[in-house]
Amino acid sequence: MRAEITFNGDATAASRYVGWAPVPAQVRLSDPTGAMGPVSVRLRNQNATRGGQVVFFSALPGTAGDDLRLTLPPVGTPVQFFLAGRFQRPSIADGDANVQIISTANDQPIGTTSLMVRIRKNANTLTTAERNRLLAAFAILNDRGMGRFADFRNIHTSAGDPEAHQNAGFPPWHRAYLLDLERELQRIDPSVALPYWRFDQPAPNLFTRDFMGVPDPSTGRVLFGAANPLQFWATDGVPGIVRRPRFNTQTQPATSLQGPVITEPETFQLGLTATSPPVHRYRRFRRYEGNPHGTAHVSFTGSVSQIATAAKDPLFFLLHANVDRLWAKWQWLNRRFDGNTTSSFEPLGAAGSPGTTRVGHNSNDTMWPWNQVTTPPRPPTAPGGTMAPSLLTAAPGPSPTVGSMIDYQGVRTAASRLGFDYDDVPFEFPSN
Amino acid sequence: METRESAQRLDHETSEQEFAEFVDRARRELDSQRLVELLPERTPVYQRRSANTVNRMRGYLLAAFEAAGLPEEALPYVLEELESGRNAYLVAAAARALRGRESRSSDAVPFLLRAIENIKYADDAVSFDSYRPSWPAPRHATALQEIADTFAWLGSEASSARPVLQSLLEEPGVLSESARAKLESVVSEPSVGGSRRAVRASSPCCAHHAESARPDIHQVRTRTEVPASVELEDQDGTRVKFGEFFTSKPSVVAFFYTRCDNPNKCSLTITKLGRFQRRLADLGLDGRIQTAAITYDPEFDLPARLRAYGENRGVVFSPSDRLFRTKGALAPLEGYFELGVSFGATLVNQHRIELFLLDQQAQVVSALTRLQWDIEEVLAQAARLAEPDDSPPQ
Amino acid sequence: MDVSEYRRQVEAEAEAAARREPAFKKALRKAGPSGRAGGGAFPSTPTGDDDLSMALGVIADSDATDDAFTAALQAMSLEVGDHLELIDTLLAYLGDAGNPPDRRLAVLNLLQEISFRMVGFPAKRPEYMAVLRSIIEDPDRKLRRVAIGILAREKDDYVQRRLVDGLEGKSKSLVPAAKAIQFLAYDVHSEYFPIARRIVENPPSQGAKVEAVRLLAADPSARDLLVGILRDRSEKTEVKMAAAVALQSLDPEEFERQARRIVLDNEEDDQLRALSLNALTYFGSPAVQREDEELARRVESLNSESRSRSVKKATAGYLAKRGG
Repeated sequence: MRAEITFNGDATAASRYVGWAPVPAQVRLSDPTGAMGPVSVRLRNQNATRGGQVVFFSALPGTAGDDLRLTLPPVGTPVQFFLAGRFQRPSIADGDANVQIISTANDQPIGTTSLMVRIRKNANTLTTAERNRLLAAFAILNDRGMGRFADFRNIHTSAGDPEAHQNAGFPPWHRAYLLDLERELQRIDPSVALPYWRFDQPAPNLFTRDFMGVPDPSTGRVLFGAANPLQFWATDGVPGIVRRPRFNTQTQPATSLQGPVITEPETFQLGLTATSPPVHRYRRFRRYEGNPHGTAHVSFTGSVSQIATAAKDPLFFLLHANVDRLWAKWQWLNRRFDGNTTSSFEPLGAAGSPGTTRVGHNSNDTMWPWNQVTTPPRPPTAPGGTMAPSLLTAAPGPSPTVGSMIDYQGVRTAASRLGFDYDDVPFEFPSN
Repeated sequence: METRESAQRLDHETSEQEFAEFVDRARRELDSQRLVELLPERTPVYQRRSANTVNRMRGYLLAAFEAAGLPEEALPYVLEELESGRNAYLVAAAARALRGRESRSSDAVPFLLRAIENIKYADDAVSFDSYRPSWPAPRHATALQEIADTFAWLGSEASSARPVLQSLLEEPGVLSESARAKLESVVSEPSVGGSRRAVRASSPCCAHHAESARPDIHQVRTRTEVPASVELEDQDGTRVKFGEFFTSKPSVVAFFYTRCDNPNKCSLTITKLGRFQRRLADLGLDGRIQTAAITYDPEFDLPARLRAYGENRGVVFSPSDRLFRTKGALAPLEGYFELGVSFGATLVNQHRIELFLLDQQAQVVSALTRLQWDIEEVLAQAARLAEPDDSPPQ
Repeated sequence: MDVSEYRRQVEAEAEAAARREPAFKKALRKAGPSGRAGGGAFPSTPTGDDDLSMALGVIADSDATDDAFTAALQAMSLEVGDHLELIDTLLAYLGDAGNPPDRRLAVLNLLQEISFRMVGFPAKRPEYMAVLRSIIEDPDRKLRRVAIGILAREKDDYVQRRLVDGLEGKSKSLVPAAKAIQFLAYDVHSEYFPIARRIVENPPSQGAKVEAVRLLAADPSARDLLVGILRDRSEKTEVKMAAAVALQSLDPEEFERQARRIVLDNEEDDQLRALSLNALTYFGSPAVQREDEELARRVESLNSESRSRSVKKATAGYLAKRGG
């Protein structure tokens, strides 16, 4: 007798990736030999001390359990359930999380499925293997300047500046940008998740020759170890990265000439209005575009310190992963996932309607370049095409709206789940 | 008898100072024809210089038309910068040049509005007081200010721009105070205008331009000998002779290079080529019309670069749809197509947008150059080429 | 940790942060009439916001302490989105050569930050560029280098000319040759290739030569030069590594041939050998690598016999990819 589990509606290995947000799964008897009738099974983590861990739900919303008992029809009809990564127990390698199907009749396993609890982590704490997989995927995407990375570089230039900055859509646009890049990295290596540079803390493991490199003291050219594939990084036809920190990367957080980036708790406080009592609102929170976001950028000299050239440096994406994480954590802390309320996002509606702003920055607007719109006021070309698809979720679709970035975990609407999570931002069901 | 100074004596060894003095003299003497001679990209004076040097030279040249007068043959160059330029100095110069026209005409309005879109987030401080101003400059303008000045000069001819200018005025943080003030006066009092030169109202000679939305950019070439033996290599590394590929079917061929840094030019051209391919397929013409693009930068644009560039812009490849580089010099094609391109020591330093329609004998039957070509317009022309030829044999 | 408990922890941290007065506010208050060096009242300010008023007063006060100045910039950073005129204040401060260079540098850093995020910056961009151009010859090395870098990344004509003039000896160099060529290379259209070649032939410094070699990756006619450097046994390893990276970008097929030769060469430098192997591991043509038994045998022997950690790592990676 054998049983098997499928995830995300797909039986292939490519779908066996979960985050903290619950995903639909199915279990069925694939070989009912010996089954006299319905078979009682228990799903559990095969090894509670090693690898990624998952939790189980019989229905949503519901309480997570360390295991789940189900009854399987002998004819092989699948039974639906849900599972998610256990918060703070992510995988460190592909397939290191194993769900075991145990027959309760004899307490024997009748099936095991490997998956990965794939989470965006603090880059400073990655294992060597995680780091190397990320660097390899990045280098292959870049392909010495000839790869698909060129599109990501070409998106984030002066031409695209008004689509991505200076307005309400700054956080969602960059969330979409990172998501697109991450999905492209995952096409190369599905075990890769984009890590973040936690810039309000020292990150000594990040700024080494084996990772994001160290600067040549006289030229600022970033030097890499002989085994680091980023040494072949090229953009705009020229190899190399120029980046020199204004702070001690081994002992300090990102610090510009007007001081360090504000801390994570201080960043959350930006969201408070001046009313009495104060409330957290999106339009206040997005002041973080200045400090810590802008401050982190200008805590270096070199490409990353300027919009026109920032995306030439792979560090840009780790920097912005942290910017996105801060928004995600603020959302979770203040339960700001409802894209129809101004506390979660504003302005609401589509460009042109009352109270809205420039197109591309309102909740119902689609976002360039994924919408492939190139008529003014949008830029003249749209590099890279539509949003990369995912086997794990249909969201946000090929042409995402600003609003589709808000409920990224599917807290309010499961179908909104975008398929990524941060290691320190859990999933919680709505409190109402 | 005084010999009129000719631009033909200027070449790549001419110093920039000499060039500037030539332009200054022509401007003072109101000799716009001398300036017109310097407009074509292939003029020797632009060879072997950096792109920024050429931009400065051309910008200084365009700005001089304000005083010297802007002849109609110079107009496409001005409109090109307004429509597709992203360099504030050149855009400012082009806006200035328009004020040298004999008559004010609303046909320039769409181009000025397009220039605003191109430059409003990348405006810069510019000065035409001298060829090489030093900074801090005693005074400077910006591209948006120059565009605003030209709208003010157009007066009532700019009335169609009022709604767009009004929404620009409502967009926060884009306009400097001086540009805002000028545009506010345009929007509120469209009859405001002034000129440093005596301006005639629209005269019979220029009336047809006032009626047309844009100049005719289609040029029909005379038949010339096909460079059949030029070897091409495509995005897969497959080699074919020019004559072999371009005499199999009618073709649409563009020129580009992957290191072009103006998204309104090569990137947009290849993106449009991809869209054109899809329209051909919609109409069932994809088997009957070939599409191709040839790089100006054959040594750098290796096959892998060509493929990546095309794929990333939606181009679909097939035996009839390819991106090429020449295996060898580009010169034979430069001559055959009369390309509008010039080169620094190693790299393109300026080029125009150019798209050609070739018949089945590889003869250029239509050249759409300088201004943005319209996909549907090209489709119509290509469809006619693809029709069976019922004319009696020669 | 249970999610509810985690939430309580994070909320507590956030509340503690809310109760703490930001350090810059304390520093601004300290810079008040009683704490500021020199004493006296603040100049009148156009806005009613207390922090902003104090900040503007500090900026205008040449006797303000460094801490107060930094605090003032932090206050402005928070509020500049609602007060576009502050950018004019900052630009004026930056452009005034009479102000202390380190403070002008800090102001420039703040302007860079503002350029990342602010509605209103496009309207100020022309003035920003004009001020930057006016300070590229500032006596303060750090200030002018940052200004030059910003302009170079915007492909500014004015700064390119000055950099080229400095490299060609037509005027005083604003930055060392290595930085000058690096700045020029932000724009491949700046025609830096001939200058880079001259630097390779007659390098003013090792650093300049390394930069020039690397940046010739964009010059197709430099292919033979780069191959020549890779073959030159007398050339320094650092230069050869730069040539390898450049050739890898410029002509991957030629580089693959050279990389193979380097790996097979007993006399070749270990660092270069490791780099070449890594390039083959990640980017080598799979079909070619599969057939190359001679290379595979050589890599295996290097893996067991080489004492270089870099080579051992590189060979292990190559063999793992090849399935050996």
